[in-house]
Formats: sequence, C-alpha cells, structure tokens
Amino acid sequence: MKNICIVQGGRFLLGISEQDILGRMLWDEAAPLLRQDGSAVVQLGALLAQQPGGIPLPDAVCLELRGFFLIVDQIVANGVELINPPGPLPPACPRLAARLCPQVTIWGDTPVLLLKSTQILPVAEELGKGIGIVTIPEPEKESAAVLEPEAAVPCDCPADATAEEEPPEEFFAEMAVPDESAETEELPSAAEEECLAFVDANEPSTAPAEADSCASCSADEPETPAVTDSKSKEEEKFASEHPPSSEQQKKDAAAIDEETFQKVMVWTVACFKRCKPGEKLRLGVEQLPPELAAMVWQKGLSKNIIQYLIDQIVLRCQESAGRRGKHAG
Amino acid sequence: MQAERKDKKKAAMKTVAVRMANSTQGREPALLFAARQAEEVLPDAEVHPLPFAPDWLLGLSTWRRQVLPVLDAAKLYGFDAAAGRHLYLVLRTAAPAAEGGRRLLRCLLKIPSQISARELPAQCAASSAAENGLDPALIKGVFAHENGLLIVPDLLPALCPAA
Repeated sequence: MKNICIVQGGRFLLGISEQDILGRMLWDEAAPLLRQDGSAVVQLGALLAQQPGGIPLPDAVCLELRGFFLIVDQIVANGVELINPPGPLPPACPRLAARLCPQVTIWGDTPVLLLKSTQILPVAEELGKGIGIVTIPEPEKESAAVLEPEAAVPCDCPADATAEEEPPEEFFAEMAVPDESAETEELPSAAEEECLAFVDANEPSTAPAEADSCASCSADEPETPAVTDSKSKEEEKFASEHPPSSEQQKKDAAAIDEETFQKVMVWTVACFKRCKPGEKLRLGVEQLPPELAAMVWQKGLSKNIIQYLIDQIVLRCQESAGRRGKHAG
Repeated sequence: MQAERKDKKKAAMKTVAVRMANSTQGREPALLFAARQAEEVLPDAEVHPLPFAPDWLLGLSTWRRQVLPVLDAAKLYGFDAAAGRHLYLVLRTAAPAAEGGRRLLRCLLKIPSQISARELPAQCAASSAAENGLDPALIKGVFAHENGLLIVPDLLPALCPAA
C-alpha cells in the first residue's frame, strides 16, 4: 500500500489504498446511477457503528471499489504517502475490527486504521440484518419552493449551508454563457462579465495562461462585450475593497475547475438565500463547509482565489436581487 | 551486601495505586500496579474510536509513535465511573510471543485522578476476587488491609485475549 485516501465514516477515520478506489462521485450524483446499477452499496459509518444503512447525506462521497460501492461521510485527505510503515492492530482490538482493518498506521499524530476493502462485504454479510447496506430511495419530486429565490431566511451560520439547495434558475441563466439565440434586454454589467469569465475559464479551450484575455473568450458571442472595455462602479468599489490585484486573481481563477466553481456557487447562493432582505452578506473562505474547504485545499487553490469567486457571486446575487426589487416596484 | 538486597526488595515492592470511585463491602478499592509496570502518567490523551469495540475499550491513541489501545479502568473492572478529572496511565505487561519467548504489550488506562505511589502495607490479608464482586479472570490477586482493598489486575486477558 503506497498511497492512501483517508476517509471519515461516522466517528471513525480510516485509510483506503488509492489503488482500490476505481472512481469517486458525490452521493447526490451517484444515487440515480446506482439505482439502475444494482450493485451493493455499503455505508461505512453505518457498518462500523453496526447499524442498518440510512440515507446518505447529499454531500457524502461514493467510492467505487472492486465489485461494490462504499459511501463515506467525507474524504479527509487524498494521496497520503505512508511515512510510518503500517503495523498490526493491537491484539486488544476486536476480531471484526482486526478482520476489516488488519493494519494501522500513524498519520500526523493520529492512528489511522487501514481498511481491507475485500473484507467489507464479507463483514457486512456476517453482521447481517442489513447492517451497513444502503437501500437507494426513489427520487423525490423537486419542490418548486426550493427553487423560489424569495424564500430568504436569516443567515446566521453559513458553514451549515449545504449543497442541497439549488440556486435560482435565474441565477444559472445569468451565470451561463449567453447563447446566440438568447435575447438579453440589458447589457450585462462588468460584475456579471467577471462571473462569465469564470465560466469561460473552465472551457478546455482556455489555457490558464490566457486568462488575461479570458473575457474575450466570450467575445465570440455577439451579446457579450469585452470585460476589459469598461469597469462599472461596483467593480471599482470591489477593487478598492480588495487590494490584491484583481487582474491577477482573474488570472488565477482560470485554475478553478468546474466542479469547484459549481460547488462554491451553490453554497454561496444558498447562503445568500438565507440572508434577510437588505442585510449585507459577508462570506469568507473560512466559512466554507468542511467538505468543500477540504476539496479546495486538496486541489491546491489559494484562499484568495476562492474568496474572489465568492465575492463575485455575492455581488451577482445582490445585483440580481436588486433588479428583482426594481421590477417588483 | 545485605543492605543492597534489602533495597532491591524494597524497590520491588514499590507500587502505583489508583483509587477507584465506589467502595466494595465498605472498603475503598484501589487498583495496584508494580511501579516498573507504569511507564508514564498522561494528563490527557487523544482517543480515536475503534469499531466493534466493547465499552471498556475506548479506542486507540498514539504514544511515542506507537499505537496503543485505550482501556477504561472503571468499565473494565466493574467500578462506577468517577466524576471529575481523569488521567491516562501508560502500562506495560509481558505476553507470550507466538514464536516463543515474551513480548511487551502496552496500553493506556483511563483512571480517576486519585493516584499515588506507595509501598505495599505490611499488614494485609489475601482475599478473593469473587468475594469482592470482581471478575476473577481479570484479577491476579486481592489484598484486604485496614484502610481498604488492594486489587492487582491482570492486564493480559484484556490486552491479548488470544493469550
């Protein structure tokens, strides 16, 4: 076992050999596929706590192992190289624990049990009574209320906001690159353009080094003026509030992959929706949910870039909400 | 020469006594370990839970780059949980090795904070574990003296059930 992936299942911290992991996906995305697949799905936390598998949280991670799928609460660290050679589990440990995790290593100052993936299903079978086995629920019909942008609630704990809530459809529409057939009533502001630049930056054709001209990637689109042409008051204000070079940040933003972008956006919009109307939302990188923060950290993205992205999305949300207010007025 | 022997004998009698919470037949019980068995007393330990573990096996912890099991003394020996602060005693015991000979096994024992180094009282009488409501499989010996009950635990059944 060279590199391991450290995962959390319930109260337990375990290591899985990277070689054993064939694929990984968020539970939300994996559930519809697994419903048709019919493979065994084991929930690690439930198995170790000797409880029947429940419904995993949407942000749980589904790992594809050989012959089955394993749901873990979160991935704590990826590609961890074992510095300390693994040793056998102390003989005081229970038989089932020793069967499932015959070896243990030290990561930092933390003992990490090394999971023997081939023993997961046999142990679940030995325990019986559906312990650890997940039954995939039927899909629920999406409630219109979830998509209602006006449903704002006080925002007291942004870190609790999960990706369950989808951003308003309008938001997606505005964040997406406008297609040629789409008629826009008003020209997008510079702030909008910056959000568009993020989207464009994720296009494979846009190399990170070309991010300076990122906005011009969308210049092919007839309704999209180049972002460098003019700066709105909001953008100037934003730049004055954020001394680090926003041009540089824009360049760095090209390094953000689509998954990160989507997740940060969904979380930010969820936080925005939780705010009282008129309340100024201040979101920081440190408020990101642990799983999202871990993902950002694992991808080596700097705090400044993510903070910039969050600020831009908040700005867009505020503009969008302001326009809705005007229309309503 | 005689004085040296006497000193050695005295050193062998040095013990670490851990006073447990409840009383057995009106006597205050204390777990008694040989001083050489106790390697360190830790004010705190980070304990990581272990799946499928009985309630007395709290989990695993690291000590000097070793992974050690953490045992709860009160739960293991059937005493009431003591209120207040706890300590962790690093203990070692010898176990027979598979290839012959002996090997050292260590553990962290979660104990109440009332711990003292003492010598065995001169006046004490052997008693039985069962008489005092203790599990004989986990106890090497019980000694009653005027101030209480001294219990000498056997760590081996807990640390190496196979042995």
